[in-house]
Amino acid sequence: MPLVDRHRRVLFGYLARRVGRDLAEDITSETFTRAFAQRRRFDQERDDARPWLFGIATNLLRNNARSEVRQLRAYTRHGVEDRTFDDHAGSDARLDAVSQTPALAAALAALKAGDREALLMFAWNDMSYEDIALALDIPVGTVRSRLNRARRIVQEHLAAADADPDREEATHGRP
Amino acid sequence: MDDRDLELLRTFRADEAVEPPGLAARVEEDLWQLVLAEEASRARRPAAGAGQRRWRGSLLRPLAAAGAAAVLAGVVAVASDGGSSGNANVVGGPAREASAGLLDGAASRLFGRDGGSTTATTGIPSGKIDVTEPDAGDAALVDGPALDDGSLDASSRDLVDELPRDPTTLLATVRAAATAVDGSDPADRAAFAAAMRWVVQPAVPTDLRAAMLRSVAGMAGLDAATTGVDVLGRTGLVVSHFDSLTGLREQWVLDPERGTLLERRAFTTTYADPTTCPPGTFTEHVVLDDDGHRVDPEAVPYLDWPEVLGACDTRPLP
Repeated sequence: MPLVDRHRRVLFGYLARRVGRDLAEDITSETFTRAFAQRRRFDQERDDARPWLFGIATNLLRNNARSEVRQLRAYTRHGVEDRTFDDHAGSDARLDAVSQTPALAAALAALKAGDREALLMFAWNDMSYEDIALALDIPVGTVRSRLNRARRIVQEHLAAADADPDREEATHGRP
Repeated sequence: MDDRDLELLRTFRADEAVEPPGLAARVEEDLWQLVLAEEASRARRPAAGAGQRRWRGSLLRPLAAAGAAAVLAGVVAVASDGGSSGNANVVGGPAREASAGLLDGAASRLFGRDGGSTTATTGIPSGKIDVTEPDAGDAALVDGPALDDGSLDASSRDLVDELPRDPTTLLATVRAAATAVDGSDPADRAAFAAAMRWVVQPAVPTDLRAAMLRSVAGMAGLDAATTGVDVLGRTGLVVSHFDSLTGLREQWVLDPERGTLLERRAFTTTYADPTTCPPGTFTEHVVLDDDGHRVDPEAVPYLDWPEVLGACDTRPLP
């Protein structure tokens, strides 16, 4: 299967969840054109191009970091529609997810960009530490520490929301 | 650390991830524009010296020697000897026009301006023309039922007579037939191969061969028609097609006098999935001698590369 067909859907999904569908379309296409332009840099010893593509996409996303954080803060204030959650999720899980949306969005907005990148690649795409390290061009140990830090912050926000459900709305997601 | 955070994250904005229907086409179009721009840029560079442009007997060598740089668009320039086509090296928008002009000229020169049929019919009412074997020659006129798979590869003589000679109308017919067999064919890969099979077949009426060659000019992915040399060093008309979906380039080298096939080669470019096979890997390769018979692979270096790759053949070129 050609490179584009193999990775386009996953790449778009990741980008759309981060910055919205319109911008994700632009960045997806831009990622592949940049990959084409940079194709000589690809290490053909590697058996998977996904980390390479995610690395290119991440660099493009960084130009839109403010837009992403603005969107997350909007979710913190207003939540997201129920349809945002997987229809197949069980009702308890669904309710939990809906109720925790502001806290989750606030937590993501509060993360450093690098921590957020590592966390979302891990959570949404099941990327290994090694693949995330390749994508972000950082050592595996740094991936590990970024993930630990990011998950701790997210869990703290979730715990705080459990204790005081109105907290995130009151603070508009700001720590 | 429990995993509730990850479970919640996995559902967060999940519906945003559904791919919109037009994205695949958009990515393909953006890439295609980039390919054309790159090839046009490459073509604007100063021409190489005559010695570098004549690859007598060593056409394939630059593919490996230049590695990734050579295989995408460079092959088109490599194949050109800067001959009678003048600006045939120019690719992109102007290149398409130049290529179309060359194809039209070649069709007229090879098969006659008016496209009058010069092939006698066999008088076999139920006969067919089978163009699947490029070395079949007149043996392509055979008795028996035509294929009923929707393709034009082995068509009844009646259908051959009925096929339109207007290139635009014929292009639509070829596309429809290619799509009937291969399903989606956005880059005209199947249509290109189908049309070229008719072009090189001497048993086919010449007016139809001419129309087929002209129809190629309107196909997506036609990236060059130029003069060049084949792997044996014979000068011919090189018609090149690039499939932006797979990254495969397919080139047909035609005898300049008879329009028959000298060489057909398909190979990966740097746009092909780099995790599958290295750029420059041949996926198909056929060479015919001057009598139209297949050349013994042993006689041509690297002609014995696998026709259909189950695995990459990465042997270095000499």
